Amino acid sequence: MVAEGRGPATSATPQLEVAGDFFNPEVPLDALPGVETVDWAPLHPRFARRLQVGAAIRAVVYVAAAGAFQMAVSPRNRAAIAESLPWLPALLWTALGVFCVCSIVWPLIAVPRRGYVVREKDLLYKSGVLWRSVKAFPFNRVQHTKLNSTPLDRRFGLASLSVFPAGGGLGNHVRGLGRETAERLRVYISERIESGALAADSDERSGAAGNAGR
Amino acid sequence: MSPPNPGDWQRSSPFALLFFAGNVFRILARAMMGALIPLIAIVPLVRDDPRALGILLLVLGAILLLPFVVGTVQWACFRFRIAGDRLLIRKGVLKKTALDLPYERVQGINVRRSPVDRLFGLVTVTLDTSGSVQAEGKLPSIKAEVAHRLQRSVTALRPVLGGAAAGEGDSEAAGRSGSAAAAEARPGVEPGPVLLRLGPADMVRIGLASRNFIFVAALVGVLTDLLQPGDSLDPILEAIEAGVDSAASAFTGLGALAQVGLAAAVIASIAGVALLLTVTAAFLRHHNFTLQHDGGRFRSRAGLLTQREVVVEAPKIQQLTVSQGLVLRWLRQYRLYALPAAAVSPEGGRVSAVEVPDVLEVPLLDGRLAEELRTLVFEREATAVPVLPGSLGLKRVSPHYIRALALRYSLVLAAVFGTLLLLAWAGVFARTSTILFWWAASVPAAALAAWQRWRRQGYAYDRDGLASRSGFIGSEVKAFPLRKVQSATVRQSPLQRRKGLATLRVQLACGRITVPYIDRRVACALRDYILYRVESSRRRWH
Repeated sequence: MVAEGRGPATSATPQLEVAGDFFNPEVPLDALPGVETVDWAPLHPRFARRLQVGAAIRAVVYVAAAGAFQMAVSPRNRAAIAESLPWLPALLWTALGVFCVCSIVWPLIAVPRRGYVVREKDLLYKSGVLWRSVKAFPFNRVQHTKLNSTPLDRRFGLASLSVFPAGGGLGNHVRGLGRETAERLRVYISERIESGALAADSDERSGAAGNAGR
Repeated sequence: MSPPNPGDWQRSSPFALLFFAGNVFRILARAMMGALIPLIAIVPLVRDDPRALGILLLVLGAILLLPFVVGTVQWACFRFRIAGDRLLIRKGVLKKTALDLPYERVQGINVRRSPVDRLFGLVTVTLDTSGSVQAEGKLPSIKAEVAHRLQRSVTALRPVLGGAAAGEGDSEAAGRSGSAAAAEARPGVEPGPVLLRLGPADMVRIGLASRNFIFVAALVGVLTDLLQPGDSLDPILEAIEAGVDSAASAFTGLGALAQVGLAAAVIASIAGVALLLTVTAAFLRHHNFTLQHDGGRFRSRAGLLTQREVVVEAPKIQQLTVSQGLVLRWLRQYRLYALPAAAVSPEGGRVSAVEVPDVLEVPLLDGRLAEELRTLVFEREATAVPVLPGSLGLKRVSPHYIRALALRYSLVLAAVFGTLLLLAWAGVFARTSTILFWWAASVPAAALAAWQRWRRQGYAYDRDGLASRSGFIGSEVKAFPLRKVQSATVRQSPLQRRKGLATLRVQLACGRITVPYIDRRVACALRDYILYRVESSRRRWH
């Protein structure tokens, strides 16, 4: 699960056409590990099912609410609607039905396209069916991590891991990990954060001491 | 030292009551706005029932009085102590809070003097601590000499704040400039060299260039532009006539010329009033603006009634924003913001209004100083990244961006006009043909707007930094060193996938910066390079 070390350099990483001295002399861009070649770890196999169950529960609630609303419409208004807009109830019910079916089917399409990679120095998360995105969270910028699991998640043995870099931003979480995987990841990331902070601290201290001595 | 024992627990002056009450009032106003308005709205309804009215007024009065009561109790429970190496604050009524701020962690001391404070020689001090710590030290209305002592202690214990604090940096030049900065930074609060001082004439220019004024100014500009050719006069005059019908009726005998004069006078007076307002605001906020730089700290001081002193350490600055509106462009001047890490709650929620750190703002500066400030702020990093909106070094994004924007705008238009059409069919609203006409007319405008947005969009990068320009009428450049990035995202829409493009989005501690519609390979390579810079950086980002 945890891919130790950064992936090998690939010839697929393209050159940037840049004016000026973009390239750091020590690390040519070719040698930078690219994201294209990493092995994306899929989410937990039960995650799609869990999302579907959630969507189904929500669908039941929506349908119940819609039914209750229809009951609540007074007979007089109902008659008026039947007279002037006879197609309206059918249209609304169809729309609701299509929405519910889509939301139940959608996880089957979306979940296989999500994935994550834990590298030595960062966490990558890709998602999206139409609008695809790859997010990268360097560990030495993560402030803290959090493990979340809703009752439904727990039923399926799942958890979601949130990472909090400074500056916030939404959607910094990986949903649908196995509970043990999530816990292992959390511990791993916390260790990386701590070791990074210690290194920075000691660097800073020695640097400050050196300056004071001078 | 005026107090007998400087290490003792102290209370802030009774005038701090105003501060505490104001805080409570703000929190209350935000929490109860929804409840308060209906309460006030009920008043006329129950006017005739004296008992209900009495109860209502009592409730309202209690709500208004509450901040002062709570403020008094809070003030009574507020104590602070300036120890040798740390500031201790005890506060809280029911939930006691003990705040312990080592001076090493204090990144800036911001001083604010309201008119009441100034009358009695008091100041309100805000200590800026590093981003990860939520609790911030605020000492309302304390004696000026106590604040001075605090400032001195902090500066003495945190002497080297510039590039030297970083110690071993990413770059080989760290040691050299570190010692230079160490020599430069002297303990004490002596101000460094003055970089900029703004006088009354500048206030007028700031007022002219103010965002509020620009709407009126643009309106006036468009009107005068249109008034010059004689044949386009009529529709405007008609519009004005319709607008000021009652006023114009007195002048009907004077003929068209007088009407033009009247219109011009109206416009001029509107512009004059707007200018007066914005210039007054500029005087209130920026009067006597001075910007100083000493040993890695930037210190700005300004204000007519309430004087504000903002101190920001260069390493804490995450991003420079240089903006230039139409008027500023005409004046060949810029406006600059240096954004520190925002006090965002660790849960990723929104910043509360009380906790927004003071942003270093330079309301008016020329290009040369802006470049100089960039060099001072970013030091060896990002030295070649352009910060001026007019820079030639900024590259355009893909022209497909125009299409995407136009599509987005026309979708919004379709939603708006579609609703209007539905209303028109239902017979509620204007005629269908009118709406269709305006819909058709707005489509080219949307395309034009998309094109203009694309023209303003640009980006540039070098080995240490990235700059992104955006804007519509004016434009602004956001520049930051790569190692300050918190997270990076490459995103592709269906259209972008077809064209081999992508949008790069980076999250900084002070906000998000987007570079839209660049070549996907460039976006990915930039992302990988940014990750490399961040992950190999061993310096603190704040």
